[in-house]
Amino acid sequence: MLIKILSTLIFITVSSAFANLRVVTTTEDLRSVTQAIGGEFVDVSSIAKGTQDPHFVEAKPSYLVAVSRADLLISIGLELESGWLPLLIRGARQPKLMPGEPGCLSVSEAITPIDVRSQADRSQGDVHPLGNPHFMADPERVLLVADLISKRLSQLDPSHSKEFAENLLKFKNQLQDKITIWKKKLGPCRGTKVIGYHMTFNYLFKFFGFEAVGFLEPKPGIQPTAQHILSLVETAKSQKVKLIVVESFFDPKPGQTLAEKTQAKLVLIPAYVGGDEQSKTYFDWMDNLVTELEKNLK
Amino acid sequence: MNPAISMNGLFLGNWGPAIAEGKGLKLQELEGQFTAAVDPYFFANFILSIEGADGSMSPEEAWVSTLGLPVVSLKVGKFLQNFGKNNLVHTHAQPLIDRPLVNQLILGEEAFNTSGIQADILVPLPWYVNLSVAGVSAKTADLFSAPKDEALANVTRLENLWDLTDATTLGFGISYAFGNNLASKLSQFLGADLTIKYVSPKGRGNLAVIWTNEYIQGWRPGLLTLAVPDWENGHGLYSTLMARVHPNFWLGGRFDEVSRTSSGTDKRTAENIVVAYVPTEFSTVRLQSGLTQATGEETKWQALLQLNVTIGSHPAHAY
Amino acid sequence: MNWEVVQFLLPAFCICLILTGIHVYLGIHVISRGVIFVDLALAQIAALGATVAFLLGLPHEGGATYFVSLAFTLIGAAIFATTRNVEKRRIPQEAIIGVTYAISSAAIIILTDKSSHGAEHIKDMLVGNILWVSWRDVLTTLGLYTAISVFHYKFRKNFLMISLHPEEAKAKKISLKLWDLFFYASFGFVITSSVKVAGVLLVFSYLVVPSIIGMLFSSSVKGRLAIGWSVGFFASVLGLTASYIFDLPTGACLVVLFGLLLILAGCIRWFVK
Repeated sequence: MLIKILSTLIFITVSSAFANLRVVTTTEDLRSVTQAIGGEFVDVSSIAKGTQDPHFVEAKPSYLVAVSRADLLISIGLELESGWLPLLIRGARQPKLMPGEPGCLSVSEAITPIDVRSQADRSQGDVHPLGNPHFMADPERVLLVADLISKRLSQLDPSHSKEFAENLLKFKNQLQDKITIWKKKLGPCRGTKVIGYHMTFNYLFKFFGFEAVGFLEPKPGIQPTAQHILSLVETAKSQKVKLIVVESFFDPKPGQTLAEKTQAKLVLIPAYVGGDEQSKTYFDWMDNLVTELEKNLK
Repeated sequence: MNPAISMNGLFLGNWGPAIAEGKGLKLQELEGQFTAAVDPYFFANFILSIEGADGSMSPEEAWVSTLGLPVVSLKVGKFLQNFGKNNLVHTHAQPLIDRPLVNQLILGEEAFNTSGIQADILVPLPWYVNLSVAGVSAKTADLFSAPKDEALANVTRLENLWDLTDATTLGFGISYAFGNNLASKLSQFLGADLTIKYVSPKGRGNLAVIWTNEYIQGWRPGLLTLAVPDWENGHGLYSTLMARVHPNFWLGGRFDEVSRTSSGTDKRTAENIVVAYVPTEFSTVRLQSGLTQATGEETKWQALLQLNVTIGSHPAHAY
Repeated sequence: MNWEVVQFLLPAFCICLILTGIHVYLGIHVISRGVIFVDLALAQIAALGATVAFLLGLPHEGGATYFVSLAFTLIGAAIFATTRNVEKRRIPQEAIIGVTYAISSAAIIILTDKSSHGAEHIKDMLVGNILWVSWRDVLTTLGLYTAISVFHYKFRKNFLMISLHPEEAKAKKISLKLWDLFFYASFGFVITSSVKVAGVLLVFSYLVVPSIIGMLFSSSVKGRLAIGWSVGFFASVLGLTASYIFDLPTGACLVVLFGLLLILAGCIRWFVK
């Protein structure tokens, strides 16, 4: 009897060593990067789809089931998912995913954020006092995120750490090459003034040297109002704003209204990987963003 | 390291013959919530509430749950019982300003809230199945009001949730509770709830439609023989339909029907509609109006206006 | 203010809203396919089924009556699905639909000729009895239509394609016959329930009039839905109130009102051109 139990246990442990690492990420950006580094040794899925706003994901119990089966949960941090992720983690009742355990990773640890506010209160809108969490739009910060993800994957699955390191090197080299290409394409456009909708693309603007002189949201999280759009018309004209950059899941009408009244062009781009058909991986997404921006700046 | 502290204020104006007491303007409720991880083993949630401007502060909920146990989570303390869907929802999170009639008249005006231990088991099936079993005090629960201090009651709920499409979910739950009542006989309650929820998959604040239905039946033998007789058999249902028609507006309505038998049968129906203006997730203004009809009485109307605000870090509400 | 009256009219008003909701959507499909009379014929077949159930002595408010009526409707739906032809064959589908309608109507008259309550039953089938609908009817109808809506939403790409762009569907190898069958079957479920409550004429009006008015002023599916739903809502409120105040049969009152709204919309469109 004892031998039967022992052999079953041995079988389970041995077979689980051959099973892929199950990773759940909160956004598709993270999913794409993790897939590139983990390759065929990880099964990655994302809770929020690229068309969804990750601030407002519903903590659906079906996500909870997926999380409870995961070995590693990767999130952005900086309070982006604070509205729904803690509920999912507690409900998943999976001890290895608790904060502090190796199964719980918040990639904001790897980077220094921008837009940190020491004094923050809600009269300023829905602000992130710890910093702007949309740093996956900055390819240079993504290099650091990739390092962190690779380290954690190796920690959880040491038998494949060599493969993870190789994939990481390949990913970083590919990304470095792309960074050079992207910077060359939009290099001449440094200093372009733009208007955004929400602060999603602040890191992207910084990367290309654009200057955001205003946002369609009067305050973060507040719907654009007619009065505010009219005041932006003044700003757009006096600062010679060239682009109005709006995330594709927002209502395009406020941006269209502003574009009609000024000489600025409206660009609708997906805010996250998976936001449209051409943006299924991190590289495709960034390529698509650069192409759209370049097209409208000529 | 501070807990997540938040306070919620509900300010209410209510008018009309359907309102039994407390017409006019008033502070409906002030609720403070403190949540934090105690240590790697426990998570604590303390909710203090004050009802009305002259009310005293009392714990609405005060419980601790285990962290890091696989598959099971244990909850100990005083908490709203997992019976049906609406009972778990705090006053400020209710879709309409007042609670459904069946919850008020069958489960009790103060909701089914008592002390005990609850185990929540995530059943390993391909869809979400949660089995919740609790052993609670039957004395402090208004629902039972058992005479003996040490009397226990049981509350069990089996909850399922399926993803019908990527944007629609269907939830179905069955609840059962039993315990000794004031006449020292066994009271039993049975509930079933069905919810269908659609949330537009794109962006933020787009179209969402939520249709919640619940049926509750209660058997309380022996209560007719008391000095102050009370109803023995009762059942009722509600059906609430809410729709987010604009990122800042919700529109909805609820139908209620309750029937209770003591010496005679008292049947009540109500229809209410509500409009909610939600500028951000931290503040809401609701306007509700409706009609109620009880057997042998004429139809009465009611109108309610509520301002609901939350400050601090308030944890997310259940799906 | 007589609140009893309002409470009395509420379930009827809710049913009108529910009918508006689903029929305007289905109406867009029906008009795009160009076979307007399919719904009239299916409604009449549903009425025929209900009549047969009535003659068999089945209780009017019962699951049994519903299932007999549904069985007839689904057979009718299958016939229409299999005789749809994108390339015009010898007999146009319109003819088949027309004949079916005529036969069902005649059958109803023959069957109820010998029954004492026959005439009343025929009038009931034509204009329905919306005013007497109960909250239980409202909730069960809402449940059924929600299930069908979820089904249509999940497969909306296919359904919209086979109705609006059948050539594209053929090119993409999507089985027209299969999806047509699903469409007509779900359509049949809706028609059977609606006819029971609202009668053949009102069901036809809800299907066709708001969609046509939508088409007069908008070319996008979303636009037509929005206009159609508004017209349906407006007509429902006006019709119910008018039928109560002037003591007229509700179904007939609403049908006439829909007609008047259509004429009004046509005039507006003509002037605005």
